[in-house]
Amino acid sequence: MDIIIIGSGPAGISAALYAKRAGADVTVITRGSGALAKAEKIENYYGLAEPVTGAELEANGIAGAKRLGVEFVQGEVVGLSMNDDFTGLVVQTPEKSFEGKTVILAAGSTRLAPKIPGLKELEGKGVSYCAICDAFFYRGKTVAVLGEGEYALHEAEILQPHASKVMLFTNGKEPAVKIPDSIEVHREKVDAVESEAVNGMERVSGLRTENGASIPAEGLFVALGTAGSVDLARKIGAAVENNRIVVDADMTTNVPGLYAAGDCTGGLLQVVKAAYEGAVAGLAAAKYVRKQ
Amino acid sequence: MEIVKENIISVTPDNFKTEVLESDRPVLVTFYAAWDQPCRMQQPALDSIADKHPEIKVCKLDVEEYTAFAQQFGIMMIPTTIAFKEGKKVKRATGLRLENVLLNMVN
Repeated sequence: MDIIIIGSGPAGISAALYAKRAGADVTVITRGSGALAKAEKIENYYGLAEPVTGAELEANGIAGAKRLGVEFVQGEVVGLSMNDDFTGLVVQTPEKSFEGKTVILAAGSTRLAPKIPGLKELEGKGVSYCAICDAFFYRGKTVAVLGEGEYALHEAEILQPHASKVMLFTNGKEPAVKIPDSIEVHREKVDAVESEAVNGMERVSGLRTENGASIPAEGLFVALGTAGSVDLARKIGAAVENNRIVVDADMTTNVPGLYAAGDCTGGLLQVVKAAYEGAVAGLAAAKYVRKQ
Repeated sequence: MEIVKENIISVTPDNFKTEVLESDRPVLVTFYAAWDQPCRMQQPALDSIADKHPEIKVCKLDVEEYTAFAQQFGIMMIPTTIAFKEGKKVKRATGLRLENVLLNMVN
């Protein structure tokens, strides 16, 4: 595949339209509706005589891209990596992997992590956002994954060959997928991430739950809900600052062949901004493919 | 074995004291693993600092080769960069960081 676009909101669809018209082969992977579909009314957007619903605008966008021949795949992206010889990027869904010459991240912005005391403070001291990067440090140790869906399961499965025990903490939710018996599931809410000092350095020691129990764990991997653009960017080594993907004026990240557009790059959370960035990213990715 | 540029020093438990703790320049030590994609992407920023800022010593430490040593610094995430001044840890940054963020750690 030439270009894989993750997300089918205004950024992803605009990227698809411009890249397709520039002659590239374009596939959009989407898990379904995003932030736009939740908007009751879209106004202040060029060409609208009357307000439309977000869902209507989104459906029109997707229909327009389909008419142009853009391929759509329904799936939840749980992983992003370089291929073995660093010539392309691999997008993983629970069902299968897709390899593209370029990838455009347009899956919206990640919800902020819940305000669990210790979560932010202990990042890099046992709290991690990337199992593939940091599983290595937990050989033979007990680890926890915070999350409830495909993404959390994917992270847990990466940890299993390394860790002695992997637990899943759903933080009060029901698991959205079937969790194998080898992963211990905790449904109770997490009140705090606990730490202890080892050789004068603070590190994660366990999780305190709503019923007052302290459950020992040396690592906590955060994988709530679905993997957002920022989560995927972190895994592949794209620069992220203040929960936004760092891009230049062409929407290129620091990873060759990887672009980002829309809410995940920060700034105005508006359709007009997402559409513009998508267009720029689509053209830049198409140009990159031509040069290859 | 990964190629480390001439002006980036590969530190080991053996030379850590002389290269880092006894350095007369501020030091940035990035704890990394060669196979890790975010660590690979951190490299250009380290190269650039080493090229443009001779007043800063840029070092790398392979956590896979020196796991126990890295754990003395509480490394649980890669890349992690620690800034040292006059033998003391002054700042620590986890995850891939931009060049200016790394530079600010020693300025």
